[in-house]
Amino acid sequence: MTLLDVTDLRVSFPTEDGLVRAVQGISFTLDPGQTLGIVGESGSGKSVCTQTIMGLTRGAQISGTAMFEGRDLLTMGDNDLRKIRGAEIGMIFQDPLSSLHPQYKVGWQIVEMIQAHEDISTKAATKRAVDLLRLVGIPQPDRRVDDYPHQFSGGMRQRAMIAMSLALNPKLLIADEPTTALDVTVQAQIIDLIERLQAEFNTAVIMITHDLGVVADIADDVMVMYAGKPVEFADRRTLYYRPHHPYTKGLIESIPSAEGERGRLKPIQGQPPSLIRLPSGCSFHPRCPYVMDQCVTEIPPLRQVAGSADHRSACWLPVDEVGIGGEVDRKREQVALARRGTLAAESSDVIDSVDVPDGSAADVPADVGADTTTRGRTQPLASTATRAVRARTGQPAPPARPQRRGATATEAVTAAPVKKAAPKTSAKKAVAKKTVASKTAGTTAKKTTPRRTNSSQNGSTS
Amino acid sequence: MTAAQPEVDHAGRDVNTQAGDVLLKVEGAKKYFPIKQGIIFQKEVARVHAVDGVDLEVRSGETLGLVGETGCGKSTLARLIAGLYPMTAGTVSFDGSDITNLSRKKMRPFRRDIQMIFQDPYGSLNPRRRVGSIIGDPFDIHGVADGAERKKRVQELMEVVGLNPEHFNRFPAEFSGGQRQRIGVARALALRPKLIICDEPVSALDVSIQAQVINLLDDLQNEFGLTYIFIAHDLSVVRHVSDRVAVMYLGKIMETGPVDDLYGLPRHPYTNALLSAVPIPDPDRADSRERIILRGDVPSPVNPPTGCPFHPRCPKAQDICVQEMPPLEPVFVDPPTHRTACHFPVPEGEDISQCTPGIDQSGTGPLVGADLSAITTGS
Amino acid sequence: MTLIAADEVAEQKGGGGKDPQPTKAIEGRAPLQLAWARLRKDKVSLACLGVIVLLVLVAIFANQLTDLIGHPPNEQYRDEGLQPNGLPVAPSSFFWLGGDEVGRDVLSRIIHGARVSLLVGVVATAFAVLIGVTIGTMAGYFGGVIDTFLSRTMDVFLSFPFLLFAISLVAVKGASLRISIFVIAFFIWANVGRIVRGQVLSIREKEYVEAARSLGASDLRIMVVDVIPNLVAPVIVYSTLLIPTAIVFEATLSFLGLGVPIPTPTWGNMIATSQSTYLQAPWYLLFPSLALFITTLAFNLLGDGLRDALDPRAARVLARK
Repeated sequence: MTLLDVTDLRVSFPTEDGLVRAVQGISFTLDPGQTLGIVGESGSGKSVCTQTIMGLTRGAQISGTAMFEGRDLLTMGDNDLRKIRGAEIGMIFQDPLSSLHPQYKVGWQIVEMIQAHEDISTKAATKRAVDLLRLVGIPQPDRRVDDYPHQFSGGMRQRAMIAMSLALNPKLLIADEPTTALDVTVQAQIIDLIERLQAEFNTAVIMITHDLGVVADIADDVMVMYAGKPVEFADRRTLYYRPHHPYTKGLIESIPSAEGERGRLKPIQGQPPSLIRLPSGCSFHPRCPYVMDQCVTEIPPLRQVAGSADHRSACWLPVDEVGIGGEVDRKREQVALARRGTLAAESSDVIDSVDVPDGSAADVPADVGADTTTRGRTQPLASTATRAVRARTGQPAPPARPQRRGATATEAVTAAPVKKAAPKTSAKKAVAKKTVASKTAGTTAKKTTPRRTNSSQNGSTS
Repeated sequence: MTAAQPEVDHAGRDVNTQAGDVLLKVEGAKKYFPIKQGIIFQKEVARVHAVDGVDLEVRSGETLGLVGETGCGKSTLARLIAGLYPMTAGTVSFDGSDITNLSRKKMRPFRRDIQMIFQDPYGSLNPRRRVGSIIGDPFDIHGVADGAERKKRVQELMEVVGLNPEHFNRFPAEFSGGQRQRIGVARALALRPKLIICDEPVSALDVSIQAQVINLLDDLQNEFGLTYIFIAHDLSVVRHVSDRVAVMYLGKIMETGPVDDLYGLPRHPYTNALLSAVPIPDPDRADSRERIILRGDVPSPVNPPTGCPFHPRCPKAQDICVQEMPPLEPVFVDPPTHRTACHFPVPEGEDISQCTPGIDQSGTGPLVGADLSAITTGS
Repeated sequence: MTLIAADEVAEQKGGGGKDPQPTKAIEGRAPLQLAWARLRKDKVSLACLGVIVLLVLVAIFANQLTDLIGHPPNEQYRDEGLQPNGLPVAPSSFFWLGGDEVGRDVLSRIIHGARVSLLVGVVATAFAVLIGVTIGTMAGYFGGVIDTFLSRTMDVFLSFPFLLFAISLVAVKGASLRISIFVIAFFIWANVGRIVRGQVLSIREKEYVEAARSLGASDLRIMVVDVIPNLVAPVIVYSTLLIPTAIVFEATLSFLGLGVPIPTPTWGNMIATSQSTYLQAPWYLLFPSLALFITTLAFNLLGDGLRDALDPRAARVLARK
């Protein structure tokens, strides 16, 4: 039976700068004993999503449903929600200080929490509190139970909070970056503990993290989020070995390999977009090496892709191109090139515009930066000045130089069309032009000038 | 690549045996921070043993990775080398000259050669100053360039680290985390230093941005022949960037060696535990490896354990570990470059999660999750 | 938790480079310009600012204004300004705000009183800020013995009995505008010093200060280039709140006859002399008090508004409500 069923959850926050669309349409189901990993970078909406489910986002505009054992958490009254929170759904946060009250003893807080949900004597509850502290590895728990939070070290506070969230044997445990602030050896303890709990009590877990390693360790299914949307969903093996979405692939590729191969890392270019003004079409398209015209205009839906039965991805690339590396990447490349028209070719421009406010200097850095370094690494020291001068005089960049040892051929191919496409046409001019363009273009971020398009195309053919 | 370029990049990892001369040598470095109490007359009530006797050598052109958990003293060690704190004991020599506790004036010429990149891209840039002036600081302070020349050089630097030189006049708040870190890199690079100490340069960045900055650092090393001390708690990042690695625990170096030796055949039980605890972004490998679960947290450096500081958590600890700190030396068949400070180093193939300590470690804390009964009584 | 969410949103907004909308507000602007943009949305603060600007104008053009009214502040109108029984006249078309006990125009005197109040308030605060920032920065930056010494000094100043000191000083030196300013600055600088010290303690630990030190910057340079600019926001807010304190101090001194000597009109000495006739001529007490009240209130409200405008985090929280 499904424990949690979230359908089309949308959350936005009105701010003085505009509406922040933190979550835009998330659906998933979770069975008892299952672990769902939600992966994303800061601002991807991964935390907001679960906070909303727990009724912890005040002042937000929320739509959708989140059925927990048949009851909708989103429309539930505060009192009912409070009963569920703690007793049936436990939460672990990244920052333990936010959930431990500094003025009360740690033990008392656990006792209080147990007694709020269960009819049990203080003595029995205290004994449980001690046992719980022992469970999470607190030394001398019978003495520590009378300490105040500030007498605990950071790691111990985190443990105490975990003890608290486990106290009532919740059916669902939501862990929001539970181990980010912890050392790896402690992180290993906590992950191990969560795994034992699942084995013993069939607890369902939602693990929110930016660390692909943590998810690879313990998740059954993984949802990758980008700019408030789920972009890919799959069981962890499929996700790691046969990803479909270029963002997932980019994330996996950007981590240093476990074998310690040197070579260059393959970062995802550019910066995450603003949740206030998202790029048109697929939010990832300005950073995507496989951008096609369709990506700029249409928002890709989550589609079933080749792989496993439950593998879904929100990308316009053909559904059968899954995986990482050589062959598949080349195929993706071919498809993308074939379907890339003027719109997509301009997308290297869009990277700029996404980063950049209207009417101000284009924020080329992310892009140019990546570009500069890509090229820069092969240039001798003396060329630094030359490069700077070239940027100002507006000479086109020389063609890409041979890759450094360790960089694979694939990288060269994928990097070439889009990234090399932003040559240093005088940064100043480009900026000035963009200023004009964006002024005339009003609010549309994707408006670009034909000239720039040409240069992009030249760049890609060079 | 021109012939003049030193061939000391990562691509030629084997180069490290023939790497340059010793650029930096740290001997017996100690740093204790006093904890004081009292309103008018302050009395020292305790000491934080942040760095507790560290010997280190960095050769020019190489990258030395420094790993360890919170409170292991890696950041303090970095600041001792950079001359930001006076040392309690020990010596630092740079390029043949002793720079231990130099006066500000005498240290000045060395400041040009030793630079730092900081962890927090938000905290390391003064929010009230324009980027151009931040990057131009080194020129100002050392009277290298001013006016138009300074601006020109700042813009060149911005170009080098991949920032738009036109953004000279912006404030740090107008840049994203990754871009700010590039600003910090540009500032560190300004005086063409020989040694750059990178203190957790990517820990505060998003995964996809981390790789951008690591690549940048990599490029700069090749381009300018830099030597790095790279501090991080992320072991896979350290493995990626370093030629040699030193593992620190409570102010002491537990194990050091060439990166492949150390990761391939970790000798110290702590290194073993650390490596086994790193999440691996590869489900098959993650499933197949055995995690070593340690007891408790890193103890407080105010009262570090006697003997080997790891003994309260070590699965192989015996009585001697409580009494004596083992010397840092090669064990078993290890080459002289791979040194371990352990009475009972881990031979190849031993599974230390099966070991039981010969001493009482209950003070460290119970094993996590040993007894789940506290929960079963729940609802 | 909402806090975390706020941070995430904040990061979104703070990460200027990466998102279009907020940067639009920020582009190339100094933090103070940003604060001004925020302040402009705050109606109360704007109104207060208006009141203060008006007051300043009144003080600057006091002579011209009283010329316009036609009643110099020290001119005694024995006939029009006093009732036959010798009591002050009520507000009328002749004296808009009534007259005082010797037949002077209360309005003219309030206008001229604004001069003294603002002069003392602003100058004394300026001195206090100068001393306070210098001492506070040194205490916070150097720490250790220097900090202990300077902090205790500030404590001593804060525990000094203000009035006793003022009375004895005036008794020795004689009352004057200069003495008033000196006494007030003397008593309020330690407040600034304390606040600044606290701020510097946290700024000192920032990585950018460490970065400057690792570059070999001198202490003086770090203080001037890296520390003090970051004090601008709290100091602006605090001085805005300190000006009314100084104004009230001045009024107190004048009230006690220790301030600017008569016949120069000040709000304080007007309130003092009105005491004898306040039952018969309440306006004489009311209007100078009202002037003092409005001025103090305007500065205080503006100070609060500035605090919100200069502290972006506070502003963000507001935005989320």
